[in-house]
Amino acid sequence: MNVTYDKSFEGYVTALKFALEYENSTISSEDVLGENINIKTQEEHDWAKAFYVELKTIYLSEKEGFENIALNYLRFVKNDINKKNDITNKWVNLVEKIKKSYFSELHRMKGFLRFMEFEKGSYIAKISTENNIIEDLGSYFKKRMKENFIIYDEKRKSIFIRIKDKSHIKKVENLIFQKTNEEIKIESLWKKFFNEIAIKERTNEKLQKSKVPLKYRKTITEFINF
Amino acid sequence: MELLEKLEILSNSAKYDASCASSKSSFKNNSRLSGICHSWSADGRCVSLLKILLTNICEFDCAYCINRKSNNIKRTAFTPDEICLLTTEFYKRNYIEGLFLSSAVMKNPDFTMELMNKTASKLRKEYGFKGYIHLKIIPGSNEKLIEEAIRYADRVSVNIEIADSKKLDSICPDKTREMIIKPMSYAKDKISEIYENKKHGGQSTQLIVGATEDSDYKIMNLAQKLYEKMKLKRVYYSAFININSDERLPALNKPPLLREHRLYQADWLIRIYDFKLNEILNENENLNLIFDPKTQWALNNLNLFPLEINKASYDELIRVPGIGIVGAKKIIKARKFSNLKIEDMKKLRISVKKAVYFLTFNGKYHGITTNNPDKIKNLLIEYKQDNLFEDEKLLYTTYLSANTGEL
Repeated sequence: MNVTYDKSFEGYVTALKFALEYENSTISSEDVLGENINIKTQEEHDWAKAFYVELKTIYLSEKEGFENIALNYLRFVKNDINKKNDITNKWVNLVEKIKKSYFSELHRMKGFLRFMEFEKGSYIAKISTENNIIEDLGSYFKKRMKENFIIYDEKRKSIFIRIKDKSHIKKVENLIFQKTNEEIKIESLWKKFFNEIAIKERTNEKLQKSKVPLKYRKTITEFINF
Repeated sequence: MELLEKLEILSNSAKYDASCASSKSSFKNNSRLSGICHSWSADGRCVSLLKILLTNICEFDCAYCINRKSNNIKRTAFTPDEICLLTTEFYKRNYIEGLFLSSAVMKNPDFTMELMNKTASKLRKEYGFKGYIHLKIIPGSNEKLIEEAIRYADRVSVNIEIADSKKLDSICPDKTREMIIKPMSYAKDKISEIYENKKHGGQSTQLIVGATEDSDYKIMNLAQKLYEKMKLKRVYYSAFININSDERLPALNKPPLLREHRLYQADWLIRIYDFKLNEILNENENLNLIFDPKTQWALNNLNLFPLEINKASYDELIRVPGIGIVGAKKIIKARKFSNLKIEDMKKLRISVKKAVYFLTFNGKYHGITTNNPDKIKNLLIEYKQDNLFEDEKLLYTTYLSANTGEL
């Protein structure tokens, strides 16, 4: 039996609860061959509290078949929470790997994200990440700075928008904006600094490449038009 | 002078200062202790702070320094507002975590220190800056100014540079060891008074490596004392580059980067892994460039190995070459559920290339049985981790004495 849900996080947690009752069940967002049961999303998820971080991270990893990874993981750990530490188990191991990928990318982007000013006092940044980190990343910058800002996730066509104390995420089709004159001036100062700070006698581009992988460079100011 | 040109001059002349840590920033949001790195420059060094000099106008004439008085270079100084503008604008765009402000000695130490404090004060009060600030303490500045600097900054540092105080006189005729140690010692007392919780505040220093004949033992011995007596958070090591071609200093073709790397590894062993200096180095000895200091230690103490991975304590595990703090913690967590086999290491994402010679798994040893450390050395050489330092060809040396036996 396959359980289908409405693609939302709440729907996914509801589907997990339902599928756990049956031994050979699976979960997906679309119907698959065989018997499918569509469940109605519930809001009450107290039962999942102890696994919240894991379930959320698996969901946001957007890995193919993530619902079944979560399901198999829960089958293994749900009766004995200590089993979360049994990292040689296949499912625990996989979930640890997913968590590591998510949190490393989040940590990396806290450094690599670059804002530019598009109107006086308002900033925008573009990201393109493997994991769906926009919510966590947005809340981080909400605490870090007081200015209004937008983070645009190019891959998922969504934005995190912050205006004063409020913030939300929404879908967008396309985003067109222009840098302010001040922005162009500050960028050239930054690029100048970035160039000057390297010691020629120590040049080591291999090391630099291992620290700033090429795939991230297309949104990092100092690596654009160099 | 235009701001762009000033920035060019005053970042170029600040680049030799080692700095990276910003993890104790007063803006704290995540529980992770690791600091945020924003970029890495072409030399592979992390860029997390706007590292600049307030001025490169200098009254001192230190042999190794690009900014020394006798050098004929373009000189300039930032105004405090210019620094505040750069810091806040860069911070907003998420280029940096904060400011690392150092300076040449303009007029005299107190005059310079006062200007630096004025900048930091402005940045905090007028510009409302909550990011990280690191201030260099100018050697010889007075106590009141040092205290003020500590209050504005997340971290301060006084650079020792030359490990041997007797050589300091000829290399830096205007500096004395006292001008460095006195502020450092005063800062130690003030920091513990002001920041009782110890999470904030703190000081560090930098030592130049290869400018004098000081051995690694001498350098590490000083570092160990600084950690113990001066309560330093970090000692940075900086491979010497003879920019001035000064006769008092050695002419090196290339900065000794691998040696610098080894010193950082030894520093880590002392600070985090609870090694004592005399376990790693004998008096006046240098660190082995071929093997990292932990591997070298293990090779010198083969009688302690192999350890059984399922029984060894945490303190023992972190001393196994190739196993770090994170690895040891994972092993301890995982072995509660089942006896670990060598295949499990892959799942734990722990490399056993080095560790295999020093561990048994469920009683099974996968390395080679020998009392001759040279045999293990030969095998370890084939697996070298330091290939990021291509200048050191000596890594290909083999231990001939071992080649007579069977491997």
